[in-house]
Formats: sequence, structure tokens, C-alpha cells
Amino acid sequence: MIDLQHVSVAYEDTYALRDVSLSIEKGEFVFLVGASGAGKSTLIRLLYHGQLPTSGKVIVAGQRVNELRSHDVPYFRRKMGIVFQDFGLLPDKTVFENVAFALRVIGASRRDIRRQAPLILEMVGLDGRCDALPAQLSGGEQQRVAIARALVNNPPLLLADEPTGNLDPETSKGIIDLLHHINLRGTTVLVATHDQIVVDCFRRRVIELDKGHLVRDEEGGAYFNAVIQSSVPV
Amino acid sequence: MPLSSLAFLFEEAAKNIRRHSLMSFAALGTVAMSLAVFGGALYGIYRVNQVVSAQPSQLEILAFMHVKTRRSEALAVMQRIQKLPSVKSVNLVTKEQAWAHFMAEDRLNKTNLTTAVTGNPLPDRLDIRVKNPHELGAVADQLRNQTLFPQIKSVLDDHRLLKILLAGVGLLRVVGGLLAFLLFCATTFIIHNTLRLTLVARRREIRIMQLVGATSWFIRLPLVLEGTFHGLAGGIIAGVIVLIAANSISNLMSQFQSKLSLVSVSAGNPIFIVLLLAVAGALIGMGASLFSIRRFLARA
Repeated sequence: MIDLQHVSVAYEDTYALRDVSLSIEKGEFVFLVGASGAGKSTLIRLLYHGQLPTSGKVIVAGQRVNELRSHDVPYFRRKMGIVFQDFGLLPDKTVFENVAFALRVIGASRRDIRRQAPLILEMVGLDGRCDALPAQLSGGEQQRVAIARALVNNPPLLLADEPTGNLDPETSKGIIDLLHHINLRGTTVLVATHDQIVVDCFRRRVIELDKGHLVRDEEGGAYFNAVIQSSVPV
Repeated sequence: MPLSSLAFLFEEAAKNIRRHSLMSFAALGTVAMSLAVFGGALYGIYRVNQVVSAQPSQLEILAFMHVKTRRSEALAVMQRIQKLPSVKSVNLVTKEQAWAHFMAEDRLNKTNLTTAVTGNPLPDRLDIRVKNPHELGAVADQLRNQTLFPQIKSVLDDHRLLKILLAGVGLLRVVGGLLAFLLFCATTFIIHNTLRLTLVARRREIRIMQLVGATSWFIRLPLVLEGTFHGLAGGIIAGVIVLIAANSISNLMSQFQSKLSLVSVSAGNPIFIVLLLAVAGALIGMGASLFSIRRFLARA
């Protein structure tokens, strides 16, 4: 599903990513961890053509991202759902309209919108709040709307950049639970996070970045590298 | 693009105009004012042009034959002049017609000049109209050439007033054209700036649209519709303002005509100015919005 080959992203004299190579198969659930500035968001941006690499190849869903023509980018982005820390909801549209918006954009008919949007809202547990505005929802609920919007087109890939960054631990766990549930339906999920609790709790594949370098790729890993943790004196 | 998407985009444009009503009002007002000044200048030029082109005597050359020139010779000269490329029409005024006209005027003005004259001393005359007023002088000079037209004794092309009017119209065209260009630029800039502010206010919405896979036309269309609406509505308001002002412009023109003893021309139906400004406004609005969005999306 995702294949990065010797990818570097440079800003004048500094590197956001340096010679990163990794591969994520279809149906995987992966945590991308690292301190602030490690390069997590840059890597996520590369995957949805929000940014281009300075060197290397980025392949997502069989398409070479760096070779996409600008008019192909919207169609490429329809193959994935993207969730952000700030939820990215339209404040003057209701929950239903926010979710329907993603369908409108791809030219779905009114009938399809009426059919698909309530189903996805039910899946994220917001079927009773269709007419609420984002400001009337809690942070967790807003993130659920964002996830619903990202998934309403049934994309094979879900990218989440710090989806729990603005949420309390309990709500964060609920959101990751939801992402896990989505992954069980076959969607590939990549979550960039520095939320230790959720990573440790779910124990899935962990890819760690440090100052732009890929320093760990561990199946069933924790937030911190077990070797480093064990070497730290108590 | 499916019909449902098109309907959605129109709805979005209408919602945005309502939601950003203050911004819309500012854009619409400035467009209306700029186009009103532009339209007023344009209407003024149009009226002056109308008056100038309606002064027949000023566009004519009078060519007097020698008194002894035979009618057949005069007719031959008339045919030759008719063939000149700059000439629009030639009319032969026979010495008899000229004498009858002269006597009628003499009686009317009670000058009793005709009583002192025996016989008809007047020659045949050719009244020549040219296609372009600017060519009057050149045609008159050709007719004065005795080698070409030995039958013609004298040529009268007193177009001093026309020269002044043409110079005035020329100046008006240059100044008006310059003014129109400046106002066009100002109007385009105002719409562009208003849309830029709108785009900055909506950058979050645009970012979300891009992330969920909206094509650039899906993002552009509501904004282009908004820009076109601002231009169109501003143009209609400007047209109505000019329509109201047209009366005053026509009054001013009448005074000008009577002072210079010019033939007066009816203003006709100035409703065309409303249509012209509405179309101009819509085109400016559309062009400016397309330009601003293109630049914004290129940077996004």
C-alpha cells in the first residue's frame, strides 16, 4: 500500500527526512512515532502529495506520488482519508453536511449521500448528532466527525496525523479503538502520534523517526524502544 | 460535472454571498462606483460622437463649376468624383436650383439682392460628402487640382468647426480611453483584492476541499460565480446611475449644440449603457476571480 525508497526531504540546510525507506502492506495498522520535529508530519504530507520529496521514491496505492500531475492529485487523494489533530471541520456546516461534503466533492448523487452519510455516522457513534454544529460537540466527537468524513468514500488507506493530540487519554483511547475497528474492516491505517499511552496500549507495528532518520521498525512495539528503556537506570 | 454537483456549487455560492454580506456589499459598491464613472465617460463620448457625425454641412465639400461649363461636362465631372475612393456621395445642384434657392432666401430675408441682378449668374455646383471626416481636406485638395478638374472654378471646404469638434472628440477619446483603462484596472484590482480577502478567510475550507479530493474547478466555480455576481450586480447598479445621469448629460449636450449652432440629435434609448455595463461588470468579475483563485491555488 505504501512504499518509500530512500526518501529525503531537505529545507535549505536541514533535513526533515533523510534516506527513509519503509513499506506498509495493505490492511496493516501502523503507529508512526517520534518526538516533535522528528519528521512524522512531513512523512504523512508526502503520502497525500501535500509535499514532494527532495529525493527518493514515494509510492502509495500503486501510484508514484512524486510523478503525479497536478490535475491527477484530487483523484489520487480520493483513495485515502486524512485526519488531523485540529479536526479540520467546516464550522458553519452541521455534522451531516461536513460528512456529506466529502461525497459532494466527488460528485456523489443526493441519493448516495442520503444513504452513505448516516451509515458512516452510525459507525462512529454520532448518528444522533447529525444536525449539531462542530462548536456544539466535544473534541472527541469532532474527531469522530473528521474520521467519518475521511471514511465516507470507503478509501483503502487512512492517514491520521496526531488524531489524539487535542484529546484527553480516555477519549484518545476511544478514537484509537475506532481506528482499530476501521482497520479490522480492511482499511490500512497509519497513525502519526506521540501519545505513549495509546501506542503502548494497542501494541501494533511501530515505526520511529528521530531527526528525520528511521531508527526503528518494530512489530508489536511500544512507544519507547525496549532496548533503550531497559538501559535507562531506574 | 454532474447536475447535482452544479446545483450544490450554485447553492454554495449563494450561501457564501449571504454569509459574507458585508464583504459582498463592499465589493459590489466599489464595482458599481468605478463602473458608473466609466459608463458616464463612455456615454459622454458616445453623445459627442453622435452630435459630430450628425453635422451634414460640416462634412460636405462644395465644388463650383465655371459659369460657362455645360451641364453634360458637369455631369461627367460628377461621375469622376463619384469614383474617388474617399467620396461617399455627390449631388449636382444645378444653377437653376441654386438660383431658385437664392431667390427664396432673398425673399425670406428681405435683402432684395435678386432685384439688382439680371439673369442667373450662379454656376452649377457639386455637393460632395466624404466617407471619413478626416479625409475632407485631402479630397478638397484633389478637386482644386486644375489639371485633374479644369471645369471646377473653386472649392469650398470650410470645416473649421468640424476640425475643432474632431480635435475635441479625439482628445475625449484619448482621455476617455485612458480613464476607461484606469477604471478597468481599478475595478479588476478591487474585485481581485476582495476575492483575495475572501480566499484568505476561506483558506481552511479550501484546504479541506483539496484534502477530500476536490478538483480545482470544484473549488473555483463557487468563487468565480461570486466574482461574476459582484461584477454583474455592480454593473447593473452603475448602469442605473448612468441612466439617471444621462438626462443631465443630454441637457448639457443640448446647451452645447445650441451655443455652437449644431444640429441637435436625439439621445435615443440609453438602456444599452445598462446592458453594456452589466456585461462589462460580469466579465471583469469573472476574469478577476479566475485570476485571484488561480494565484491562490498555485500557492496553496
